[in-house]
Amino acid sequence: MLLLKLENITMKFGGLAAVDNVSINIKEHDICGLIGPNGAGKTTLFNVIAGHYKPYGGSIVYQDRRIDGLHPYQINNLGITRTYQNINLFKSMTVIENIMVGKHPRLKSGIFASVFRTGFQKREETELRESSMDILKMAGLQQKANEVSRNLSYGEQRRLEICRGIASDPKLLLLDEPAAGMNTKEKIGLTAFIRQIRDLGITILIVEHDMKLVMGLTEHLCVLNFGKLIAQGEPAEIQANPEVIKAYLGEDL
Amino acid sequence: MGHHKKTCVSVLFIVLLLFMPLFLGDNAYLMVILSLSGIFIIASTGLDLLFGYTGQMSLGHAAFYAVGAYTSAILTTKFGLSVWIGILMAGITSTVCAALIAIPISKLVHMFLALVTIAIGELAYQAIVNLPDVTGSFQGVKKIPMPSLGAYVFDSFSYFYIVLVFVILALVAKQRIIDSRIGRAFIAIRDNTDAANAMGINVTYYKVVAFAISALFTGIAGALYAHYMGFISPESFTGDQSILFLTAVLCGGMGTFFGPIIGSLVIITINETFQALGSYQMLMYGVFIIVAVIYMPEGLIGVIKKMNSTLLQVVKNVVAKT
Repeated sequence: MLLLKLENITMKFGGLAAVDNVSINIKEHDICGLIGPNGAGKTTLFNVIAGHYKPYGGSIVYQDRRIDGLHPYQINNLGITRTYQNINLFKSMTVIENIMVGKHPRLKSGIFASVFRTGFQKREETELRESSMDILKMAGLQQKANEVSRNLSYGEQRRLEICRGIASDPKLLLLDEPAAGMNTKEKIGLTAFIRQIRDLGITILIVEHDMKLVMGLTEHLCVLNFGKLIAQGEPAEIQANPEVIKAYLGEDL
Repeated sequence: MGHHKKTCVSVLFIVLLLFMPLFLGDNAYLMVILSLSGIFIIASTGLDLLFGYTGQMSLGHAAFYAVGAYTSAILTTKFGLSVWIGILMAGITSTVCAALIAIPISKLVHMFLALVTIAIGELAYQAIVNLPDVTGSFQGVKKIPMPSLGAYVFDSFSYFYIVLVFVILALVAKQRIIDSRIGRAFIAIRDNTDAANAMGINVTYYKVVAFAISALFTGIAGALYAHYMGFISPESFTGDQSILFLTAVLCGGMGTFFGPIIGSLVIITINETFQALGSYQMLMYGVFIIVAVIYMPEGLIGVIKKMNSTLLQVVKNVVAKT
């Protein structure tokens, strides 16, 4: 089943086409990789999908519904969440509170319920704490639940950001360079963690520079260069593709 | 600070305040300071929800203070409504005004928001001055009644208890909002607006809500002020008043439970003590803000916490040596 369909997406900044006529299909339950040299437009494409930019041209269809031009919070409410290349946690909040914010769109209590502490609101908050704790357990962060998030180590902050992303039970998770700055041990843990998330029924689109990690993890790869999609297919095919090799290594003179 | 500790300190504080009049005997002057502080606490707690927790600066909160004060004053003097209804209407009117203002300006950030809110404060002031039929302009609104319960009419001494009840209600409501989904959305917007948006929080909506709740507190404080003083005029609602609210929040410690309380007590005490300085007082507050921003970004509450932990360390060291 097709989950997300990008059709002829173009994103321009001034005269520069950061993303140029890109069409990608993402199947449900896939781990799909998006690779390409620096400046290829990967993060821009992410920002377009997540609603931070309105595409200049083309359409994005998610579960038979056009989502291009919607606000990021609306796209999140439909079931697409993301992480960032440079960590964007809520720094003054504790670890568990970050998860609780992640669950915001799934909660119903409003201002009056909160001020008057209705039975419903109290139950919702109790359940919220429990289910948030479950997510932290999955990532091995339960011991740090009440620590302020800025005090976590780098690898832990990355994992926490992924947890915050999956807290709202999304259908699609966009991971922007989740392994950046991680050591080998942390990367192995991360790979297992991403698989675990996929097994929850969450489709994953991942931007990553670490080829070993990408090749081992993904089932489908898309390669961008100068904003254009130059190849897509299974990891093994991509590795042998001369266009891709040229993009990464240059060509003989 | 833990929940229990917070509750304990609050209860102790309230009990102390309840019996305060007994200790003070007939020192009416101190009661005036306490009542004014209470009113100030409500207003600055409202501002703290917006500025301290949601990260939206307002340099025009005197506008909502004025809307509250004039709504209740006019309804009770010209239309003879009960003071309680006046206070209620003051809250509603200022909330609605704030929401209507916040919708167009919620996209603004930092200094642009600061500038627009200054303009809003000035606009409210000009409106009061230039609508003599409604507000009495510089003549003000006179003979604003004291509230009554049954046959009992409150006086400037017992009015303190009304203020105290409103202070408690305001602080409880604030804390409950902060400890809820709504409060988490506010803090998320303050910490990282883009990420909050990406996490499914409708940023515009919650900014408007923060403005509205903030103005509700400040508007009710304005009404309480009007009935306490019995007379209001434009001089009480100038830009200086907005700066005072901001100073109280900054000085006490923004985004904290006790910050606005301590800040308000300090500001009102200084205001009363240095009455003789006249307009030079504002100079002092300016210095205050600069010192607060540079040397104690977490306000007095931050300084107290630091002293506390240093003291604890000293005690521990002494204990360890013996």
